[in-house]
Amino acid sequence: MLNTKPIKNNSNNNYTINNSLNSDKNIKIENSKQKELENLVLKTNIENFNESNKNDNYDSYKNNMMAEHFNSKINNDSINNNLIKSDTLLNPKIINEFNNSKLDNTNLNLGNIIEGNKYNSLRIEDDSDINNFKILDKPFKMDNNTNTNTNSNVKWDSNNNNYVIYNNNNIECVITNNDILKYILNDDYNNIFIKKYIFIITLNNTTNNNEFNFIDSIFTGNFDIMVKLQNFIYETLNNYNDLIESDKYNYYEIITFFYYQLIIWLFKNSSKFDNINDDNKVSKFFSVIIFRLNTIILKNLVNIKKKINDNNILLNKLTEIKDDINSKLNTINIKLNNFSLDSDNIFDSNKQSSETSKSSDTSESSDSSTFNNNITDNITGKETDINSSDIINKYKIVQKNGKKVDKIFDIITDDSNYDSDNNSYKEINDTITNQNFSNLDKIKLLENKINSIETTNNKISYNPNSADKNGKLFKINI
Amino acid sequence: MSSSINDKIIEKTINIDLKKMVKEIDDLEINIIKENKSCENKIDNYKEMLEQLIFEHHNLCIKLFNK
Repeated sequence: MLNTKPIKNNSNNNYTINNSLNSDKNIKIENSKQKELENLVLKTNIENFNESNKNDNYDSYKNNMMAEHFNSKINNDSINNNLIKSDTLLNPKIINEFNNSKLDNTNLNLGNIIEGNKYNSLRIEDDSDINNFKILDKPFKMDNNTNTNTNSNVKWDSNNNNYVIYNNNNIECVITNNDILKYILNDDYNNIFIKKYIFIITLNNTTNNNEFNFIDSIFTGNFDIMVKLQNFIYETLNNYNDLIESDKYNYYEIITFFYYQLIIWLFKNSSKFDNINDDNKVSKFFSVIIFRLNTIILKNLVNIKKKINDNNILLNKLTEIKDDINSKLNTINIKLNNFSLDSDNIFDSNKQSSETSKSSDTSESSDSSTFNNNITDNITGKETDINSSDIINKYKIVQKNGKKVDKIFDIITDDSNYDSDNNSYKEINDTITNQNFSNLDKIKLLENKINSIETTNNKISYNPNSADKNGKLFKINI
Repeated sequence: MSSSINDKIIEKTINIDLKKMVKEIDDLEINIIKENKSCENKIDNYKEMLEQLIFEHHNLCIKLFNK
């Protein structure tokens, strides 16, 4: 890069040497040292461009432009070139801008090449001195590949709400925001244009998670388009609560993650947008997106905290319920243990009675075994309050003389003054739930003392459910 | 203590039901604890995201100031 002091232009552009011998010849020469210096600067700058980035299409563009101008000057085809002025080319400011921007923008890509003309225009607009740098009113020749890329462009179609990518003035593809959203949420969704121009989803082997990797393209290099994309993602996140509950599963986090990666990518590639003329626009954009992402993250944090608190409250309640259940379980277990002890006593006494009765009456022993079986068969029994009168009424027991039987002892005797207590008999009018096994033991003792009662058709049972099943518990012989 | 056979059977049934209920509560508790753990991981992730965002913003601010 040459730093040259401005050299005053000679007002006389041409020298005409009049030679007596060649008087008919007008020889045009460069305006001496000024022109030589200009050419030297041009050559040096061209060499610098070539060395710094030989493969850069953008530089190729510039080199060709400079070379063309250089040749035009060398050939002296048009000294008063209306398109390119020597002042413009020699202006160090412009050359600085070219070189600085080129060095800053290390991610030059197809998008930037396409934006090249725009780039120049934007820069030139900053300085009225270099307005004439809009040199080419004729199409610039580039190689075939570059030419194809130069004609690519992406535009936002506000009517259809989609991105339209043009190639050679033909529509190459149309990408909708929904397409992008589908691909974000489902990496199986195959849209080759999104993968070509916007981003791809790849698996990070270290974290074993999918990641969004953005691609350098005319799409991602276009500031306005990226603003549109960012707005769409933000609006989606912002209005996510309006979606159906079933659609929310994990999607919100994926979209948030995409939004985060998009913004980080924008920050890391902010130099792509250095060509934007309005610095305030860029700084405002980044301020807005950082505010938006912060808002989303903080909102999510608040929601997560709230969820954790709710879960903790629920856990406490569940613990209380569990403690309560455990205490009840303990109570029931104690009861059941006592029951097993009592039932053992019952079975033992019943076994003794059955052995006693077996020796005297075989039928009685069978009834006793029936009783035992009924105990075990009562598993499906329902809790019912019942007393002896209910049972008698239910089975329509009548006395031998035809009178209705109200109490058990009515079956045994016709004597109204019969004292059951003196006869070791106890009327059971209490409900079953109030009975204890000592009562059962007493009945069994009575049963052993008296002869069995043959009820006509119905059998007496202390457990109505058991009675329904088996018809009888035991017989009382009068 | 006194109780009928029927009571005991019912209590046995209740006992089984209560044990099932306790098991369900245990499962629910495990799920809630897992969910809480997941939430804590999310909080950590969000913290990292915020830190990264602040870092990038800081860099950009420096760049803009130096421009």
